[in-house]
Amino acid sequence: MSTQSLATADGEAQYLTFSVAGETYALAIEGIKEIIELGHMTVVPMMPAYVRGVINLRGAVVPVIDLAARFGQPTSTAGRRSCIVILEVRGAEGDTLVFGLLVDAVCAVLDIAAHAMEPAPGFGSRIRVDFIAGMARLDGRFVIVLDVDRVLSLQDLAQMATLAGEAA
Amino acid sequence: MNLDAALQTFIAEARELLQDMEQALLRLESEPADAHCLAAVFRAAHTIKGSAGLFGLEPLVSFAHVLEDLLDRLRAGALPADRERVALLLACNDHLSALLEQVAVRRSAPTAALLAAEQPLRERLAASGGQAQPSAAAAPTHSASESRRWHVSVRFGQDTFRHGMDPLSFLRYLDGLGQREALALYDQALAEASPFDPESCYLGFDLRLQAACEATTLADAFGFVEGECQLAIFDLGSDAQGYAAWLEQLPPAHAQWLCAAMGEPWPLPQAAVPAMEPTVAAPPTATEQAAPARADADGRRAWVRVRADKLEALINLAGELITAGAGARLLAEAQGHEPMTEATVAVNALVEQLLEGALAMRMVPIGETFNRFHRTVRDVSQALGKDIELVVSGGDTELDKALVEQLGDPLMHLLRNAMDHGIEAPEVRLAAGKPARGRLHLAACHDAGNIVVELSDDGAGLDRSRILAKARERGLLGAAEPSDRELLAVIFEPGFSTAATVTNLSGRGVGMDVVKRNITSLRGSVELLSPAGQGTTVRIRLPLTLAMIDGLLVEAADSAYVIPLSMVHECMELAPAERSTLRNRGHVDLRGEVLPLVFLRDHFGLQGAAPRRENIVVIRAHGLKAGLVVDRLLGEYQTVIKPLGPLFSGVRGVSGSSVLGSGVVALILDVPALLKHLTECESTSFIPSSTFFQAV
Repeated sequence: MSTQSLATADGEAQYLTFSVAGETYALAIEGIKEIIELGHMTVVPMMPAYVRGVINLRGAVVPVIDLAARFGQPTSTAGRRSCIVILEVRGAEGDTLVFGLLVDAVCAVLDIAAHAMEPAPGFGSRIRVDFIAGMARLDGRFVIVLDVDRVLSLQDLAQMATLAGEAA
Repeated sequence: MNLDAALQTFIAEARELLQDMEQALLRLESEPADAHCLAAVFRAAHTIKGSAGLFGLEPLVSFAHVLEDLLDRLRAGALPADRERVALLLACNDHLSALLEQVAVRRSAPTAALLAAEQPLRERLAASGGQAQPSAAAAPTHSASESRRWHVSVRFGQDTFRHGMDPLSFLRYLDGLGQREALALYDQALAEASPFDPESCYLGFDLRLQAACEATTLADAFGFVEGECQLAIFDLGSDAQGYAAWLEQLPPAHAQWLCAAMGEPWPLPQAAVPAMEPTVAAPPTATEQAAPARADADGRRAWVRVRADKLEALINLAGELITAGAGARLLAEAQGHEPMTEATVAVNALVEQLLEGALAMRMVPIGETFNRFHRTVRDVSQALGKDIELVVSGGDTELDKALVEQLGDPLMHLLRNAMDHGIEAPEVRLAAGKPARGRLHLAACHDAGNIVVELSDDGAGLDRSRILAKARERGLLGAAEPSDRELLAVIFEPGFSTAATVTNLSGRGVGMDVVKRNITSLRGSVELLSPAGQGTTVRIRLPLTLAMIDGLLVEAADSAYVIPLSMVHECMELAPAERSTLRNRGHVDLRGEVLPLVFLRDHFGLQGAAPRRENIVVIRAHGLKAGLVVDRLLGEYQTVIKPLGPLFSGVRGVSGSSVLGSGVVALILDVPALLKHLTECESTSFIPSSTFFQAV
């Protein structure tokens, strides 16, 4: 999804930036439905740490992914500015899946020009390389643009969940 | 478009009619003299033919027509409805179904395979006594197939289009009856219409038809618009005077127009029979044939066909309403506003009724599904060379339509299994002192918020030694002597089969595990009962609906869980003093019975310290019992089930979720999975349960 927007946009595309565990990340704006404050979350047992639980979004039950834990870091602790980014992802069978991403703080919506985007480095980043859609140059520093389809790859997530379930 | 909707209705009705026809044929097989059944079969074929004609589904019409020929002769008593003919009719019934799916549902021409199948059927029908000449049968009583000249005049009602009818389709149908000679389109009403409504029908037509049929057949063609159109039919050969009289009473301009269109002079030469009433003109008097169609219309009036997804949306909304209502009530209670609380209670009671009503709309009797199996039993038992009868009881037991649909396949499988493996060949049965005819009993009943479906056979029962040997051979059971329950459970293992030979029905070992998986996915359970030598019973237990659950709300580590109420046996307090001893021992003494304990907190690896007081919920499923230790009991709770989504498909012990009145999501515990997990852990490893729980 985000890679597509990178390829086609010869002008600018919009990105939401947010911070997770002290690092700033960006996410292409399409697919993001809303940002809600952190409310009551129901823990689902025997799931890996990055599945924080489920929330009730106007009657729909939506899973919440802890991005910090998904990146292999300690689970984030709920702070004053913590919130949940709700976004829609296309599933493997063309169905729409809704996820919530738990982030420490939401920063801004920015226009990033295509020429300001660098390809992902082969190594040396803090998170898995396949999660990175590209690196955006912002105010003289690099911000990681996430590949949402990889971060929320259902196959990946469910597989881990099954393993976690069996281990318990 | 409207016509499309009408076609959908036709397809649904035709399917039902074909099913009725099959049922009637099966009954006819055992009671060949039953005129009632024969009439039902004829009616079904006739209605299908008529309706298919309206939609121009030529392949269906022509085949149904040939079929009708034979049926008509059977009905008249000219030929006996013997076994052979019924078998042929059953095959024709199948072919009609196939044609319906191809021609009406897929809207394409019959495939080569279908046509190839049709040819021998047609030949057999002809050989079996159906008249071979086309379109002669409709007038069996009339003096041969002598062609008559008809005048048909029809003025359609304004609502014709709105009812999904197309005037053109009637023309098409009439063309199938004979040779059209002249046609005049009456569109003068169109000019007079003011204001003009494009959805209203202002049309009519007059035509001359050369056809070998009765007036009733022609009147029948208009059965669908009967009562809302003006119809006049005259046999110009024998009732020319009636036609003249009818013409006479028309407005002169109209009559003149008509005669001009028909190429006849106006006024008619012998126009002097004013006193005569139009004898054949009123169709309702000539409706012996049309009676079944009208009865259908009456039946339809009591029913409303609703699309399943609309109903689904309604049920979902009603569920949301319950949640929202509970939220309002909590708020009112928190504010201590007495009248407000009362008002919300009243609203909630109504909302609950609403939801119940909505759910009840989805309930259908299971009998329809059961009756479909008569055919299977008949066919399969013949193929196996066994004599088997199917007895059905409790057919009026109602359950969720979604469940009924998904129950068909597993039941079919069990049925085939029972016929192939359960019931013995007639000579074996006779030797064992049993009647030669085997008996299958399919029963349904309600039991404590569940529906129980049982399939029993009076066969030889399960051969335990063979199952044990096969199970050991495949490494499914250890050397230790298994309990009866464990032994019978082996049958549901993937790939397990004791059949010495593989038939095309069963014996491949594919099936029982699929049956079990299907039933489990419906939140049901399946068990086998087989007292040695007394046949086998498969008992399936299912919830009444998939949409709702009656549950006990409990809390552990600040999270709410719903335990299906049907599996809750009792609740009791866990005395704080005994807590640590019980924890180590892993079981509690329940009135002299050993009750294994599951500490939900530990089992799910939940954070936080346990409170001072805990509660034990005694849960039971599949005949297994355990005590589930939770923090608090929050009471009974009826709730709409929300699926957890594909991400959580691997989670064991949780079957879904539900939104509480406070907006918090509660997880629904999957008790059977929980208990199964428990027993698996105990039987595979020899760790005492207490250590197991601590290890988790």
